[in-house]
Parts: sequence; C-alpha cells; structure tokens
Amino acid sequence: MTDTNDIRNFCIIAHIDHGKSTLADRILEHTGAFSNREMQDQVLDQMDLERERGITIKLMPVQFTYSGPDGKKYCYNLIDTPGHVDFSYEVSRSLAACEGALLVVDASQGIEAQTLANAYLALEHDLTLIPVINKMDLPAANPDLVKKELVDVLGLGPDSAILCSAKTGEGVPEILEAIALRISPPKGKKTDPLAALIFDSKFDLYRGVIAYIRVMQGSIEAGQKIKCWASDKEYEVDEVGVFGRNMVPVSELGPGDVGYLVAGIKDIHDARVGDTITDPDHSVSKPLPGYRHLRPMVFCGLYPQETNDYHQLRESLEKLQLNDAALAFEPETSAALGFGFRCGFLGLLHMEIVQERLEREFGVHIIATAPNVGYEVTKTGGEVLVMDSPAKLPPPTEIESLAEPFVRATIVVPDDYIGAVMELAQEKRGQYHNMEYLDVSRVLITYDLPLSEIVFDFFDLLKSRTRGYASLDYEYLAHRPGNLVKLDILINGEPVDALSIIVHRERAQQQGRRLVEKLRSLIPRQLFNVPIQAAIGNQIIARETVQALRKDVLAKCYGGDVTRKRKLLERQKEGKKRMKQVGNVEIPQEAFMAVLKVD
Amino acid sequence: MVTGIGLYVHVPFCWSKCYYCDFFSEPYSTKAVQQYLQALEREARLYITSWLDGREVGSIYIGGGTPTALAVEELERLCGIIAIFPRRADAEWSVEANPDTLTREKLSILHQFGVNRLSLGVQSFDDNLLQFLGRTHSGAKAKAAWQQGRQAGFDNMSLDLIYGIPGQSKNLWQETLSEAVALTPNHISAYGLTIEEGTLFALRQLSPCPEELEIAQYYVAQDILTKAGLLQYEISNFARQGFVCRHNILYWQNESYLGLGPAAVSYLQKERWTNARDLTRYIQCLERGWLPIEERERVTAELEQAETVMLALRLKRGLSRWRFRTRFGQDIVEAYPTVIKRLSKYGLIEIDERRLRLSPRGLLLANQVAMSFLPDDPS
Repeated sequence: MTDTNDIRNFCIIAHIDHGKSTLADRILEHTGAFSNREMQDQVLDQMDLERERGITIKLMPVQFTYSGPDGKKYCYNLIDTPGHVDFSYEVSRSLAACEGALLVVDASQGIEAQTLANAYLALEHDLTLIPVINKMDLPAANPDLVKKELVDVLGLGPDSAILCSAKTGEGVPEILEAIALRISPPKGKKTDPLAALIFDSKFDLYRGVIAYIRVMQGSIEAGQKIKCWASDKEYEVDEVGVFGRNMVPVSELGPGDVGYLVAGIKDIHDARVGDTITDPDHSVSKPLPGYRHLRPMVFCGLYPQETNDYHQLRESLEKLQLNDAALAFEPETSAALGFGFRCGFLGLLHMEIVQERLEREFGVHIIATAPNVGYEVTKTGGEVLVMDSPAKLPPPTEIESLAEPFVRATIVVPDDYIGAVMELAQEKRGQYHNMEYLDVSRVLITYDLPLSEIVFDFFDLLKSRTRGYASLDYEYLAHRPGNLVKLDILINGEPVDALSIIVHRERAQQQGRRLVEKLRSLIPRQLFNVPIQAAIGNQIIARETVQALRKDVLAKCYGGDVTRKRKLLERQKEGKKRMKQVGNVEIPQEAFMAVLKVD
Repeated sequence: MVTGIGLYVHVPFCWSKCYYCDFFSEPYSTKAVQQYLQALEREARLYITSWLDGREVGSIYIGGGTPTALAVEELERLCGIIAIFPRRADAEWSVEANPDTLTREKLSILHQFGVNRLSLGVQSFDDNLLQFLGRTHSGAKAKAAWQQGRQAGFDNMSLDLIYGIPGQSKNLWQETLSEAVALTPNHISAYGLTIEEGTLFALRQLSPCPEELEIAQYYVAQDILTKAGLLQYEISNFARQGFVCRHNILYWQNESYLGLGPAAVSYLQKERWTNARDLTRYIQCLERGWLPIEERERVTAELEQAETVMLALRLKRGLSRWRFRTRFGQDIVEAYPTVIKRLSKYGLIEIDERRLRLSPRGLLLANQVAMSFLPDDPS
C-alpha cells in the first residue's frame, strides 16, 4: 500500500474530439506504464465500437508510477470518463473518485458545450482543474484566446493552463508534474469506518461482479465482510486489487486507493455505479453523496427480424444487461412486429450502442422502432402512469393530461448563428433560458427543450444550421405538461402500432404529412396499391399511396445469363425476406425509423 | 434430347464498344483474333474428342462481341472450326451481325458455310439515338446492310431494337417499329434498355427512361408487331409463324448447350460452367491443352426445377405441365402450391390443364413471378 500522500487520483475531461484519448495514450506512454509493443492508440478504449467511433463509452481505470524530476515516486490513478451526454451520471461518479481533473480544450476550437458541462461538474465535486490546451501542433491553434475563455468563463487562473500537443508529446512532462504538484492527495483516514465508492462495475462470467472502487476512508481486504448500501446486501470479499495493464491482486486497499473488488456478487444491479461499500460491523452513518438510481430516458421497441430469434434476442439482452445496469427491457407485443422487447436507454448513443452490439456481438438481426421519450400520463381518475411506448397510451377520453421530459440544453456557438439557433430552438418548442458571451465572438445559449425534440432531429438540425459550429450538452430538468396527441399510421388500412408517435397537437398535421410522405418513399412498391394514412383518433390527417408495381422484368435472359440473373433475383428475394410482413404489405426495416428521418 | 444440343460461340471482338453493352469484348486486332481462333479450334477439338459422345448439334449461335468484326479470312476460319461439329441436317445456325462491319463477301462466306439465320444489330433507325447508344452506324446503313443480307440469300433474318432509351419519345419508337416492319423481317427482338453495371451508361449514372413511357413503348411494340404478323413469343422476342429462334427456345426450355470462347457458358447434366472472362487467360489455358473453365456450378434438382420455371415463363406459351412432370416427376401445382395460388390471386399467372404462363400483366412483372419459384435459402 502506497502512502496516501503519494497518491494522485485524476481523470481527463473534454469535449468530444478535443483529444482526450490521445492525451491519455501519451501519458501512459511517457510514464512507461505500457511498453511500446503494448501501446495501441486509445489503449483505454477497449471495445471495438469505441475504437471505431473514436469515443469512450465505458470507464477503464489505470494505475501507474510517476517519478518526479527530484526522483520522488507517485502512484497515479487515471480514471477515464465517457465523453457523451448520455453517460453524464457515470462521469459524475468518476469525478467523485478523483481529487483533480485535466480539462482538455482544443487550441483551435476553444471551449465547447461539453467542456463547460464537464468542467462545472468537476468544480461541483471540488476537483482541482488543470487546464490543458491541446493540439498546439495545429496551425489554427490560438492558445491566447482559449486562455482568455478559461479565465472569463471558468474563472481559472491565466497562467494555470499547460500548452500541449498530445500528438507530438509536447507538454506531457509538464502535465505529469502539475498533477503531482497541483492536485492534492486523498484525505481519508485508514482508522475511520470503511466507505468506498463504486464508480463502475463489470460482470465476469467466472467471478461475478467486479466492482471498480475508490476507497474514501477506512480500508478493505480479502476475507472482510462488506455491505452495498443501496441494495443493503452483504458479501465476503474474495479479492481486492489495482489496475495495471490487467487487474493485479493486492492484500489491501486503503484510503485514496483506486482498485477493484470481487465479492461473489452475482447481479450487477446489486453493485450499482454510485453506491457506497461499507463494513456492516463498523458502518459509516450515511452513504457517500450523489447516488442516483439511473432511469432510462429514451425507449424503443426491439424485435427479432425472424420470429424464431425471439429467445436469442432475450438472451442477448440479458447478457448485455449483465454489464450494463442502465439498460432496461421488458417483453412487449406489437400487432405489426410480433413478440419483442421495449427497451429503455440513457440516451440515443446508448441505444445505438446496444442495437449495434446486439447485431455485431450476438448476431441477432433486429428491427428497431423509432425511439421515444417516457411520458407521464395523468388519467382522469388522477392516477399517474409512466408510459414508455406511444402504443400504450390510454384512449384520449381517459387522459387528463400528458407530460413530457424537458432538458436544459447548453449550446455554444459563434455569435453569427445566434439567430439561427434561437429560431431552431423556438421551432422545437424551446423556452429561452439564458445567453452569455464566452469571448468576443462566441456565445453560450441555454434553452429548456422537450427531450423528444432532441431525440427527433434537433442535434442534426443544429449542426446543419450552424455549419457544424454548434456544440450541445443537456441535462434532464423535469416532466412538463404539454398539448400532446398520439399520431397513428395506417398502412393498407391497418394501424401499425410500431409506427405510432406522440406529437404536439399544433404540429401533428405537418408531422403526419411528412411521415406518410417519407413512408411512401421507403415502402417498396407491392403488387397492389398501398395507401398510407396518418390519423389522430378516427380522423385521417394525411394520406399517400404507394403505387402498385407495374414493371419488374429482365429484358434479356439467355444461356449465358442464367446464373447471374438467378442470383440477381435471389438477392431481390432476400431483400424482401428481410422486410416485415404487416398484413399483406412488406415493410422494410428503415420504415420503422422513418419518423427520425423526416426532414 | 431429340433436337440435339445447342452450340454457342462467343466472338469477343468489336470495332467499338456500345455504351449499354456489358457482354465481354475487346477491341479488334488481327493478332488477337489469330490467337483467339487458334485457341477456339483447340477448345472445339477438346470437346469433340472427349465430351461430345455421339451428341449432335441442333442449333448454333455465333454471338459476341461482333462476329462480323472479323475479316473475311478470319470469318472463314471461324466457320470452318464450327463446321467440324457434327450437326443435324435441319440445324439452325445464327450469326449476329453489325451493319458497320457487314460486307457482301462476309455474307457470302457465312451463307456458303450453312449459316441460315442472320441477326442484325439495328437498335434504332434514328441517327441521334444511335449516336447516343454509342453505335457507329447510321439508320440508312442498317437498312442497306439488311438488304445486303437478303440479297446474299438469307431468308431468315432478325433485327434487334431498343426502346426505353432516355430521350426516345413514344412517336420516335413507333416510327422505328414501322421502319423495321417495312423491311419485312422474320423476327424482331425488342429490348427495353437496361443500364447494366460496368457499362458507360452506368458510369455516367444515366437516369433511366420514365417507367410509364417504357411501358407505353412496350405496348406499342406489341401492337405494331402483332399487326405486322410478328407474334410475341417471349418477353422481348417476336416472330413470324415458323421463325422463332430455336437456339434461344432451347435456353428457355432449360436444355443443354455448349459454349465456346471466352466468357461463354455451358450447361449440361446438372452442371453449368463458365469460361475465363479474359482473352489472355482463355488463350493461355488452351495453349497448355486445358479447357479454359474458370467457374463451375452444380445445379441441384431444386435449382434446376426453379430455373426451368423461371426460364419457361419468359415464353408467352409458358411452361408445359406435361414436360415439367416428365422432367421432375411431379406436377408443378404439387411442387409450388402456395406460390401458384398467390400469383394467380394477384393475376400474374394463368394456369390451365396443359400450361402455366404469365398473364399479360405478369409479362411485365416476370421477376416478381420468377423470384417466387426460387428456393428460399440459396446455397
């Protein structure tokens, strides 16, 4: 066990693409924590998906030794954080495990929405911020402007920022030394009752849940009894250890230590992120602050393409859930799509990741319905329901009021685009909250927006109307009542439940019209005319027709063509098979996402 | 089969490449043709000595490419090679010809060797459209070539036309048809333009002719040609009584054929094989005394059955239930009960005691029909 005074726990926070992962790589490389052979770009991002998307989803801590210029050795724990708004709770728990944070800002871009969100979050947790102005190798680097923003917006000292290029390694030694000098060592006492924060957990097939913990006070060792506060369950510790390249068992974790714990915990839901581990016999009197039971914000239906794959889909979701306490699902039956699951996610990225992993890692071909937010329905009798699917909405006569989730959206944009952003936010039913200048030319605009608009197309439109300059971050505020109605889609006269959406009444007409137009372009021509209608209750508000297929014939088919032409037809048939048969109509998978692609 | 096997010979040379054509061909050169003919002769002899096994050729089709791109002596040698195959006395022998490349001498050589059917690639009589298609001849030249063919003694002549060309109006197509009919051909192939992968049209991302117009042009062709005594017997083929192309009928009845030349396909007894789609490889193989085969496909019973239906339904008279029963041991209705029921319901096929055929509407939706007969899980 290292002397608490020599421990430095820190994380790196940044706006997406500002170079967080590259900087982490350089730091590890510089300290020799990883040999060159083991260095790969973004060593901390383990999942393929993370590498491909260049984003971090899951946290992976790492411990390494830093030797200062005077030869003094320090034990550094670097806790990587996810860089997406969906996972802001995980970020907050990682921050709670640290005393300091490197705030990485792109020298050519300056402060963006997530920079602010993350920096504020770190300041709330009393973390020491070390500003790092990255990408100094870029010709467009403007460190003076970025420094000024850091001073004006975040109140950071003008000389506190370190100039760096994670690409070339410039500034990395200074950063490492600043961590030792500026970030304070952990404070807890070993003699106090045990309190350890779970900042992540993983499920291992052989060992059960592996909880990633930060010991705040007291100590923990194998054989000891522990209790998880939120689940109130007791376990005996099998092993504790620290994170090197792999997990390295140690005899004991003391105050300030970052490590892992194995204790025969079978269910990841019993060792949730943010929970406190204590000693049942010498318990702390209250848990560590900040624990929140995560609730899904975005929902969609997931259905197997082939009915026979239902059980495989269930098993795959169960396996994903072993490692993902935030993923929720329950069986759901759709008249159009058959047996499937209604799944709840933290946000859109989380949803996409789950869908992609189902397809890639588990090989389940799924049909996903368009995502929706969770609504609060107050029934005429006063009963309040939380509703995760438009199809489940009670009939209009039973609804007293409908409330939808609102978020506070933080948008950073050059001031040329203030008008465009405000216009868009207004269109999307946003309520203006605040606006302030970050520097002479960039502003921070805050709006309260319905989450459904963000799920729908807000971010894409924001990007396109600001030529990609705007950055966005948001946090959940509250459910607010609104004038909302259910819009049903009928295909060939049959309502398709999986296509129902909830929309604001004033925009129902327009959205209904766009949706049927979009569906007309997505549904291939069949052997008969297929009417597509949008309806509110019994009232049809829009209609389009997919004209019957009239010509589908090969002009030539002679001896030399048979195989090729047959294969052509086989492919065409395969394509048809991948579609979902709803009534007599074959509907391609994209159609179920059509509501998102209406432009 | 009593009618004998089919023989296809691919002549992979053109003077210039048409923008819509995806058949394998190379620019004409004397040297390449020499090597090709030598290889072709070896290939022919390999099959005759080790494979033909007493079978006779019932129909020959020399296609391309442009067979008539060859010079007179080369053409003579080509015919000489083909003539070594034992063929039935009543065998049909077709040669594809291009108006540009045709001369009296070439015609007379073909006629002397016993070629009895000439298929002239006219495509259109409109010079603008011809140019658009990348054809290097004029409409007038096509008509002159036609007359030359007749004068050389060909009393079974066909011409190819294309409709659905962007920029081709219904009226223009009507005119083309009338001019074609005026030549009193025995046979006409009228193809809707297909933008095939890898062609110049595909590279240029040519937008196809509007569907409505193409359908209208298809009906116009049916109408004009029928009135002129050229009856539709296949999706794109029309003939006077007694002048259907027997070689092509053989394909549509899924019978056996041997293909010679690069990229040529052969089909016999549950197997289909394809020659190298490359002149050098084709030649090199044969120089070593090997057959230039680069792909073989086992045609399972299930596939053979599906292909038989797919091909036969291209014929206006459709599929003979008796033939199908004889070949596969069960009635087509037993083999595909639900498919036939569904397709009848949508009015795409018609069935009586003797035949299964596409309805007039089904002729334009032949892919949708053929697809239904293909096995669900292709191997």
